[in-house]
Amino acid sequence: MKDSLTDVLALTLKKLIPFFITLFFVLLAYVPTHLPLSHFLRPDFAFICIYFWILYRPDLFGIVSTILIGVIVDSLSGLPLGMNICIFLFIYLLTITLADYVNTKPFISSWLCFSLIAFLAFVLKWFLFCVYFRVLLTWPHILMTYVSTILIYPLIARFNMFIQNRYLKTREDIDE
Amino acid sequence: MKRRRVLFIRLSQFRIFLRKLVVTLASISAFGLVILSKADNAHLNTTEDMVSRVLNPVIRVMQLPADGAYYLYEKIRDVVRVYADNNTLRNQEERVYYLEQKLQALKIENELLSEMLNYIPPEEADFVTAKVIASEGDGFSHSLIAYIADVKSVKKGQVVLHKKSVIGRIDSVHGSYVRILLVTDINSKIPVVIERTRAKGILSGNNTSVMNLLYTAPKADIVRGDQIVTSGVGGIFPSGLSVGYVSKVSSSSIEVEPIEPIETVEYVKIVNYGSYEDFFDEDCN
Repeated sequence: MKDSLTDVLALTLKKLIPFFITLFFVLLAYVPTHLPLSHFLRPDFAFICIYFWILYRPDLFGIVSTILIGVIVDSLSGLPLGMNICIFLFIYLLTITLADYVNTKPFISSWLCFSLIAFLAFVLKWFLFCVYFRVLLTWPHILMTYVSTILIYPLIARFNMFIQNRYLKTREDIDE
Repeated sequence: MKRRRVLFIRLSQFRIFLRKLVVTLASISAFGLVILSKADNAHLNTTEDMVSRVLNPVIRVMQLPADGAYYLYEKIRDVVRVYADNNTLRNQEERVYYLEQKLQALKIENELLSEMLNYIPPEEADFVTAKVIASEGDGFSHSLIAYIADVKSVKKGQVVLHKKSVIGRIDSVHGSYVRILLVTDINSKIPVVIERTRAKGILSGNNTSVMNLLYTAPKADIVRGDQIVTSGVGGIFPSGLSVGYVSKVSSSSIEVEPIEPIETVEYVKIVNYGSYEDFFDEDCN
């Protein structure tokens, strides 16, 4: 039986959930909380979401989503267009390479793997930034961003897992 | 502890290889974009402008619950502080009365001296107030995004003040939203002087909570606590605006802290200094 327009629309929207969740967290990072140190200690939610969705649902979060998130982050942060796209694609490449190994392991393994990938991504971002602006960016502040990103990973990952198990699990997925 | 099962999709080896190839090509293209953006490409600016115009209103809506929570937090904090503040205010009142008398005397003296010098005071600067709706403060960039109703009077390069001091300048205007490059951003360079000694220098952000005072004279008299004000050199910032105070002086660096904590900024003043901005425009052209 041919699917109705509503079904097609619902299915499309469902497929876009990972993208919109990532976008939500990216925008959330920009909301000022006015709390002490909040302006200087900010986890990179985009890293977490991109890694998570590529790791668990590469069919729903592809290259186009990764590039779009990169364009959005670059536009909002005022960094040169393309810098975050490069970083996110780098995360994409590393995650998809390690996906088979990490997916079969306990959660702690995916957390450790994320720590490693995020570290490499921060190093690459630091390098690109220094080359582009011809300045040597000091490490302590970036390290703080990195540590806060690693520490908040389980929380965001649990939330994404909930969404994945609650709304994105389909009969076809299980059969596959 | 029982581990929650997460369903994941396993892709075929061929598809993975194909994806890797596409990602590599896309990465090279993205790197090309980075190089292109160095040339201030108009198409890239349009893309950035479009994304900002679409997403900034969304951030503004998302800010509402955060604002509510902060309002509650402030109210509770105010109640806790009220008795201590009352005592402080009583002490300050006496001092203010003394200073008021002194100010009056200085004002008269100033008027008399101005008449003698045939001095024409500069035009008063006008300003518009903007609400901060987003802030970016990781290790790579320090900026704010603010909403402003009257966008006509706002131009790139205008000075942005908080309550008492300079916190940045307008970096770009996207519809009713402006991006403010903060003084703590690594791309911010402000010509300044030490208020006490008039020693000149350049105040440079470094993407942390403190700034660095650079290019000062080797034997400049600079001590901890010195106020830093804009020198007016370069024409972007008028002279005499407070920017920060010296928090640390060592043989290798001089650190400056902003007067007001940037994370508490809710509203900013975008100031139109007239002649200074005309100068900046001409400089840009």
